[in-house]
Order: sequence, then structure tokens, then C-alpha cells
Amino acid sequence: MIPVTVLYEDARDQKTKGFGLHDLVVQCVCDALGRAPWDVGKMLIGQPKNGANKLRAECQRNMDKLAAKGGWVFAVYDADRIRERIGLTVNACRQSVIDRLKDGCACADHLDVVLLESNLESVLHALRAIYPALETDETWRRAIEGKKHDARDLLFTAAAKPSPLMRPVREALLAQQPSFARLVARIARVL
Amino acid sequence: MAVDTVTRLYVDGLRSIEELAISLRGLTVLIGDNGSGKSAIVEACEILRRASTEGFFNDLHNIHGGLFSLLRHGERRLFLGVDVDGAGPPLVYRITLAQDGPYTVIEDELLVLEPEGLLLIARTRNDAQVYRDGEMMKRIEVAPDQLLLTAASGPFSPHPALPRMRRALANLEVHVPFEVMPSWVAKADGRRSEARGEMQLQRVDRLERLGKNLPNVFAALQNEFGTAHWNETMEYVRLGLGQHIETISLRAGAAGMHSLWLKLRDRDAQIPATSLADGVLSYLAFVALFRLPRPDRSLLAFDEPELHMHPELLARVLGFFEAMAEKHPVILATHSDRLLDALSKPEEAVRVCELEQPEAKTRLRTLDADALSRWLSDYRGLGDVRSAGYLPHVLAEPAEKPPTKDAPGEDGSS
Repeated sequence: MIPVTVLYEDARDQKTKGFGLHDLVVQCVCDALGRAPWDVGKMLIGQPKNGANKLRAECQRNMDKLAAKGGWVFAVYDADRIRERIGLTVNACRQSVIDRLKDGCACADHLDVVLLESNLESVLHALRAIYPALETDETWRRAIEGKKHDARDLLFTAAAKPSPLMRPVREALLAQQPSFARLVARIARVL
Repeated sequence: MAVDTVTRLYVDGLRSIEELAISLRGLTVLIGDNGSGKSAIVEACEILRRASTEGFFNDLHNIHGGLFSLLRHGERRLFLGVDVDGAGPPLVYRITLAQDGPYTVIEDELLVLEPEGLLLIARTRNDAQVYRDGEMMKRIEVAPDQLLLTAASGPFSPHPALPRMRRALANLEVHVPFEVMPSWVAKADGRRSEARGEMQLQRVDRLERLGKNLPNVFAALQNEFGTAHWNETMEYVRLGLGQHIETISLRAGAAGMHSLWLKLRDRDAQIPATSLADGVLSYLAFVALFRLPRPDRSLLAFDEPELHMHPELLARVLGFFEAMAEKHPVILATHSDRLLDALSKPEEAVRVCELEQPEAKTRLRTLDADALSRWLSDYRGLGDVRSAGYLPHVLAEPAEKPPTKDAPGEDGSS
């Protein structure tokens, strides 16, 4: 069993129990594959990195080790400000962004760069539009305006519940967030 | 409704602390070598809490070992003070305790209403005075071992600020790691594992130190604050322990005693608190601390919250403290690099306790935000920087002149 690693651009650099975004990705992959979260979760490792620069540095530093046994690595960046952060013009094409983010990475053929449109807040806003009763107004406020990790984790984890009620919510989210859907589909393909 | 919180803490002459003033806003994380004064600051908070009680003097002797054991070597006086603000004009409270031969005496005690500096109570060793509108109202008799604040803040208090200050002190909350020792250790050594134990159901308004009333706190969370609050509490439990947790329940045992049980999804059997892992039970206690509404808490201090915590679970617990720090000051004393790594704003929160030599006195250092920012471009967090041995590179220069209680400096460094 070769683990698949997902590195997320985030505002924290240390994995926290109940990392909600990753839990949601795991459950969406489970939905796609018809497998159980405990089965997928053990081979899908999620790791937050604080900012695009650290995420990029992590890929440059550790791709050879992460892909040593043929494992795949997914690097998930916020698309909205990535061009200026890596020194490209705002109208640089998507492929040139991906090529630049892969620069200096060993085993780049096993590195899949995903640009989340436009960023994590977009996923949160979409989730709120789909199912505002997911959590209390205060939790939504803390997650979106306050950018609080715990509130975001609560929301994503709530959306990741394997219950029949949440499956349509996730399907609607994937339909509204094509870049998020691409991430899920690509992970499902390599698992 | 506005609530009083402690905005500044003053400690002179306690253990390694010669003179210290620390501003308290949001989260304050104390780090430093063993013996550098972190726990002394936490203990100062507890002594100040006891100043709100009638039994202050007894507790000072019986629980804190008396002034002789509290005093810094060579000192004759212990000075403690707080600034409080929120529910009215700022208040300033100070106590000085002194050693007089074999006896401990209250040397000074005063309460001042800012910003006018209106004196409300003032006491010297033999004279206790209560003021009204700036005029001395009366001299009163208080026992030599009774604080004037408690004596004069009853139903006939001359000014509402007296009970206000007393409430603010009473609402200081000081914690040490929860007592979750394995049941077999407790039984083998004739000790009690507090958080695992059975208890009579009672109404509670706070989680007691060591997690002693944990079952009652969960009973309150389940029954007193509505379904939405309970559901969200369980979401927080699952965030840390996993989605396989279905619920937490209380079960009645013999003689009306109740204990905590954990129910897993798709399993009939429940797990009693006596069988839970140390870290699991500690995490439940942290959830209880976070989720039990305490609108009047004036300060929360926690010494070494990292005990029993997996690094990823510790990061989750830190999130609770950061959320609580949006409402009232929180002080954490820690040795955990992983906790430091997980801090949202280490440059604002962290104070480094150092023993200044040759006097071996505690001083607080702040971080240099610019320097830290440079290091964090390559390091995971402040803990990562510290474990690599580079903490001195991210310290701000010490203030040239230590701030005093009369002329407090910025940010609490002293």
C-alpha cells in the first residue's frame, strides 16, 4: 500500500486532529470509490502548509522521498494570488503556473498541482449557499469572517459525515466547485 | 453585558520573581527554562483568586505554604496586584503581605477607581479605612488576618466597585493538568483519579481544577444550554477524537453516583471513564472547559496543558484556548514546542521567562516580530525555531528600564 499525500496551502503549518478540509476530501473520495473512510483515510495523508511558499518549498524538499515508492503527491494551492507569489504576470496561463510550481521538484511526474478556484473561502461560501443549516450562524461567522481554524474544521467535518443526508451536499459542492471536484477525481483515480 | 477581565497582573517578591508587571490581552503563552518563573505567575493568579475568599489567610498558610515559603530569597514582602476593566471604570487592587518575625501581616491593601484615582479602601498594618467620594467614610475594625476587600464588600458595601473587584478575583480560574491517571495506578497506590471518578449529580458553573466535576459539567452541557449547544459540543469532541464517537452519557451507579461513559457508533457497548485513555479523557475535559459557558470569567490560567496530549490533539486544544482568549485573557505556561508551532500569532502571545543572573530573578522577554517572521519562512513555527536552538535570535531586546507598577511599560516585559 503506497500512501498518497495531499499538501494543502493553509494558514497553519501543523496538522491538527480533525483537519476538516482533508476529512472532506477523504469522504468525497470515498463517495467516488464506494469505499469506507477508514479504508481510504489510512492511505491518504493530508498535511497543511502555511502559505504557498512553504507548500512549494515542501515539494522541492521532499518530493523525492514522498514519491520514492511511486506514491502520488497532490499540492493544493489557492488560485487567486498564486501568480504574483511565484513571480508570474496575472494573465499567465494555467500551465505556466503549474510548470513554475513544479520547478525544482524531483519526481515531478508524480506531483499533481491543483489550483483551487479561487481559494478555500470560495469552498466555504459554496458550502454555506448549499446548506446554511450545517452549523450555527456564529460558527459560519467565525469560519468565514474570523478565519478561525476550529470553526472551519467544524464545518468541513460536518460536511464530511458519511450520513445519507450529507452525500447530496457534497455532490452539490463538487458541482459548484469544479477545481475541488478535479482534486477529488484525480485522487480517486490514483488510489 | 460587559464583564470585568484582568488587564494587568503585578507580582513582586514571589519565588524567583523580584518585580514583574504583565499586560494581559487575549492569549499569553509563557515559556522558559524550568525554574524561570512560569508556574510562579500562574500561582500568583491563584493567590489573587483566594483574595476574594474569607479563608484567604488560612489558604495562604495551609495551601501555599505560608509567606515564608512563597517569598523570593532575601525578600520580606510579597506584593500582588491586578488591574481590572470591563464592567465599569478601570479598577486597581493591590495587596502587600510582609513577614514580621514568625507572623505574616497585611502591610498594605488598596482599591482605586480609575481614571480619577479615587481611593475606595486603604489599609496599613494597623489602620483600615473605607472611602466614599474621595472622603474617608470611616475607619473600620478588621481582623489582622482578614482582607479589607472581603470585609467591606458585603451587602452594605460603601461602593459597588468593592463587590465588583471581589467578583473579578473570584472569577479568576487557574488550572493544572487534569487528573486522569490510569485507574490501575490509582488503585495500586491508593490514590483517586479525579476526572474518572463517580459523583453525585449537582449543578455546576465551572469545571473544577483537575477535572474533578467532569461528569457534572457534561450533564450541564447536555441539559442546560439547548440542543444546538450540545450538538456543537459533540462536534468538538469528534473533531479531536474521531467521527466514530456517537455520544457521551452519564450513567447512574450505586447510591446515586454518576459517571461518564463514551458511546461509539455502531457498537452496543459503552466505555466507562475508568477505561478511557489518559489523553482521551483529558481532551474531554478540555472540551468541557471550552464549551461550558462562563460569561463572567475574568482570567483563565493553565499550567502545562500539553500533558497526555498527542501533538495533533494539542493543536486542537490550543484552538480552544485561542477561541476563549477572544473573550477574556488566557495565560498558558508550557514546555511544548508543538504547542508553540500551532500558535496563530506567536509574536503577540509569547513571553519568554528568563532568569536574569547573577540575581536569579525572573524577567519577561517579548519576541521580535520581524525576526520571527524571517525565521518562519523556513521553520514550521516558533517551537521548531526553539528546538533548533535559535530562540535567542527571535527575542526582542529587553526594555532598558524595567517598568514598574507605578509606571508600567508596554507589553508586560520587565
